[in-house]
Amino acid sequence: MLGEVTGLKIKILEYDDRSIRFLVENIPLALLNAIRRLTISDVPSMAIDYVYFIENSSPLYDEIVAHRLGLIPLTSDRALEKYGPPEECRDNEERPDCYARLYLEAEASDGTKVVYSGDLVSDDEDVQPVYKNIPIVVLGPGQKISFEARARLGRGREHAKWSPVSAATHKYVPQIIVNSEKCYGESCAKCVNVCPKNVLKIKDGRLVVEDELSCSLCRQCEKVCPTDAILVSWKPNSYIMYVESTGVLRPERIVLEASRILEEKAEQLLSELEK
Amino acid sequence: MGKIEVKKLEDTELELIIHDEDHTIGNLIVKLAEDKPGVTYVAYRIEHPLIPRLIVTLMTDGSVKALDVLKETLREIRDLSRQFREEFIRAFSEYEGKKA
Repeated sequence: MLGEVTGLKIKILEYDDRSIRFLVENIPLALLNAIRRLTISDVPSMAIDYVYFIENSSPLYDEIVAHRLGLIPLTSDRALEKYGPPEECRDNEERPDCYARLYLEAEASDGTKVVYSGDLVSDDEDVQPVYKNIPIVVLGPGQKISFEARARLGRGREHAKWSPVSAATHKYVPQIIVNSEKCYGESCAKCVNVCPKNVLKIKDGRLVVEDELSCSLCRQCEKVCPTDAILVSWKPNSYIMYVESTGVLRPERIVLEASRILEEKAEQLLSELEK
Repeated sequence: MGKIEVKKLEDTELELIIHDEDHTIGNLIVKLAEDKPGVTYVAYRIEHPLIPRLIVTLMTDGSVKALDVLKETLREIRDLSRQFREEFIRAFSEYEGKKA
């Protein structure tokens, strides 16, 4: 039920180091959703997969520490080109281009000591913890921890620790139509107060739509209006997509990789069908 | 990734198992194929959430071959995602250019 959709157009709305928000016009929803799902489950990133403990007298069991280490985001922008693909590197420690090594050695002499992600020493400067202040374990007096961890590329579908995004969403593009003949303006203004996103404003006694894009389509304004002067709807085949990176990859890179993976998937299925 | 096993192949009916794929590609194929002329039925199912395989069924009224419709759909997915990427790169460099 999509109909013919042509003339795909994209406009970046917001962008910073960690997130990107963009408007996509004339795209089938199923395609955008596939790209969104791929950012979560298929775009590869680095995460610790094996930990070899040399010493661990901390209160935490080895496997608990290993699990915590796996969840630490590691910078992967350059690792994507350097390391072998997840499918070939899984359980393949012999292959030299598969694993990055990270070391940690810590001891609390007297008093307690918190071991942070920033204490990890990586043998590859391109694979580093994104945040230096993630606590791993608290050591008591005299306790020691020492291990070698190995990180590889993986995909979110295998384990969430490899998912490069903390949020990937899309929503409809809101359209709010105000019938100025029916609207009472300043004397009513019920919709202005009820809107949770502060989309509507009163300007010079008249109701105006100030921030249409941040509308969440909750339609509270429609409900509260005594004269049905306000109508909330959405544009067909246009969506606002938001991708928030965990810091492992740049947000634009995640979107690009996802669309490349989709193209490859279609190509691969096609060649599979030709057989 | 994406090994295909053909379960049924007739001119008007096609059923295949795609290994290691999920709703991501299943929903996309179905939504794009259902509008194609000649298609009478198209659906996908995942029999068990822990078994990574996808089953796609496609039926036509005989005016087109079921396999040809599926190939056309996959070509459309490939072209659309390429178009998306090129447009994204263009929009992104435009945004960066404005900022500078």
